[in-house]
Amino acid sequence: MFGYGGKILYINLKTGKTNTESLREEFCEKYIGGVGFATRLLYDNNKPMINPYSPDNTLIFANGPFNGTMVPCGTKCSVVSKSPLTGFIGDAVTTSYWPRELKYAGYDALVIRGRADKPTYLFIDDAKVQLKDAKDCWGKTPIETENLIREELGDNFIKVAAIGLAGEKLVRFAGICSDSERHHAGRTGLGAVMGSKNLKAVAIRGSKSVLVADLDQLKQICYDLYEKSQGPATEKYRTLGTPQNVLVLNRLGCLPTRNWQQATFEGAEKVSGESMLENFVTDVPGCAGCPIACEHFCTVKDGPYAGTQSGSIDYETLYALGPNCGVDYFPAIIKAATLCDHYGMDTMSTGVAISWAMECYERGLLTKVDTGGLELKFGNYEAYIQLIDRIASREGFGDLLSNGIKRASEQFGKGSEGFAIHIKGLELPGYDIRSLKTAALGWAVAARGGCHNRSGAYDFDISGAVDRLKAEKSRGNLAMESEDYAAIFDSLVLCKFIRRVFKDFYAEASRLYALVTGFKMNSKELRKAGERIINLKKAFNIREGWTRKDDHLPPRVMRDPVPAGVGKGSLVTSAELNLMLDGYYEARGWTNDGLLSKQKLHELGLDDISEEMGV
Amino acid sequence: MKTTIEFYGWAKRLAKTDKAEIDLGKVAATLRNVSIEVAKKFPELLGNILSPETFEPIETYRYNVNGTNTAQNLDVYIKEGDKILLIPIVAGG
Repeated sequence: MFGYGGKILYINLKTGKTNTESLREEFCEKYIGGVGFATRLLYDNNKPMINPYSPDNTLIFANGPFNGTMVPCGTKCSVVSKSPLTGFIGDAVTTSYWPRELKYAGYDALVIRGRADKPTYLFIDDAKVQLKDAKDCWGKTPIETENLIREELGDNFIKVAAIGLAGEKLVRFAGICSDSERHHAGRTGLGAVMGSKNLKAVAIRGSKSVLVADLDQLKQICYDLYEKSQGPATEKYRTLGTPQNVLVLNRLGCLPTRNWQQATFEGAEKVSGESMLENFVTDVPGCAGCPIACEHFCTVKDGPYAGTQSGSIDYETLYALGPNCGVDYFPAIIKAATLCDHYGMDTMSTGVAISWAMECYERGLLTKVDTGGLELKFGNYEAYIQLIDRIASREGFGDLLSNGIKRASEQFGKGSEGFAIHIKGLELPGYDIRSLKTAALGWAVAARGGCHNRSGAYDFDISGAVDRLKAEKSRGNLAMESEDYAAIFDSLVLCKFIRRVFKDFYAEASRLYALVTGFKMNSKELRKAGERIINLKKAFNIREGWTRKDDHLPPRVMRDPVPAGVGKGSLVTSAELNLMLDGYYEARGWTNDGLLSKQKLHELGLDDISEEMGV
Repeated sequence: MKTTIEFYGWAKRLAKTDKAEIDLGKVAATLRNVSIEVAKKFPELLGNILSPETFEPIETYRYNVNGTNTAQNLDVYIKEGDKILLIPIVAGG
């Protein structure tokens, strides 16, 4: 096959049995790759309503057709399973050398089932697949694990994706780290699924080439994309990086601060992208096959955390561990992010969990006795650094937080559910959606929970395409458009940072797809594939018990108006949310309860799902 | 009429300042008048963030009035005391 590796690799960790399945052309055209492939494979391989930590929960890694080719920013892969954090579809994207090596080994997807009897790692050496003893790696950080595996296998070029302590301890927001802790499938707790399977790491050595259908034409288009990738459309990523957002969002009154109690932060300058670049950035590398290079590695030169070297510090990490915890001391944020990487833990969920605990403490709901001596006031970075250790090891008070903020607040009670900042159990990213109402809808409905990477609906609000303070039924169309668009990026799989380089994304991407794979695809068909994938994710969630009430917003977003700044007085009322939900379900062709209609499923070629749950 | 322009991101680096006062010299002014004056005062923005022909920002930048209303075009009238922001369209990572 062109573009694709042509094979799906199935592995049973209990029996050690492996088998491969050849990729079918129809499957490729319907689901594209990445999250499209992985969602379909999850739907077909998981039984409904199983415990995410059951051996029967399937963990899937899936590449897209562009990985391993010259298409820029295409070396990402999707990781999917039933999430232990949300109970719905868990979906994260990781990037660079490890996913590309999977393609070089000849596989478009890994489907992992069962539980190994003891700590194990998987070694994929082209067609040879082995389960190996990981007892020496257990308890180690992802980077230590990578080094141990490379030493054992005698090859420093083997690519390794591994979990850290958090995954082993089943922290519900543990991630999977690869490329020496540079890259992460961070969200929705997929590292904990790996831990539940006693699977410490997946090591890969691949030696195959990826062929494309029309090299000459592809070259021309890719050269153009590479050139444009050096232009204004990506300037931000190459210079300040995503932390450029801090001062902009602060000025617009959308920078969540102190567990979303405020939307502006007095310490914003200190934790800005400008401050980061001037004082801490020591290297700005890029992923494999990326002409943009957005990673901003940081080093702390002096003070209590001197010598700390981090991977890329991006805006979401910065928001969650900075303003949202009231922390304006940048070296502490670098230290905290580095600890999360060593433990293999999502920085966003970690920061939001800690900010919830800080609010509990400041309200007198928690005392030092409860926290094991930690004075969890906003801004107390020394305390939050210690708390990160305890979350990863599930020690003392950290154990409560390790279950994610939804479970933690429900267990703790005392009204703390009212300021638990999550949607479907997923802790929120750093945009105060009280004054970004299209984004509020996009996040409420997103299948994996509130997330800026599965719905970029804030683009409409911030770019002025709509009045960001107003809720309208027509926002449903925008939220749908944004989700479908993201689903195609996550299926091809392309990095979203290249999106503004395309003038007409669906036309250009479908052309690229055809040149890479040799399969005919037009922009309408590609757009339809995005819609199909979103419907499929929704089908998975419905099978797991989703109802309309799961498309919710945090109580704080609907109850507590933004207290100051440009967005002062903003919130999303229940009536506004319902109006926008009605608009969204209508735009999708779903029922008013948000269920999938037979007609829509049939139109999308999902007849088997129509039979099963169409209404 | 005088107004204040605030620069963010790349615009701030090109302008080498985070804000400046712009004297529009007349009572009624649109964002386009502001953009023309900004371009005169900060020529480094021309060809990078502002179009030399239309003075409109590139696709990834916008003019915003007082932090609330992001302008879709430059034919919007501004008032005395309005604060004009030249902002990048943000997105996370």
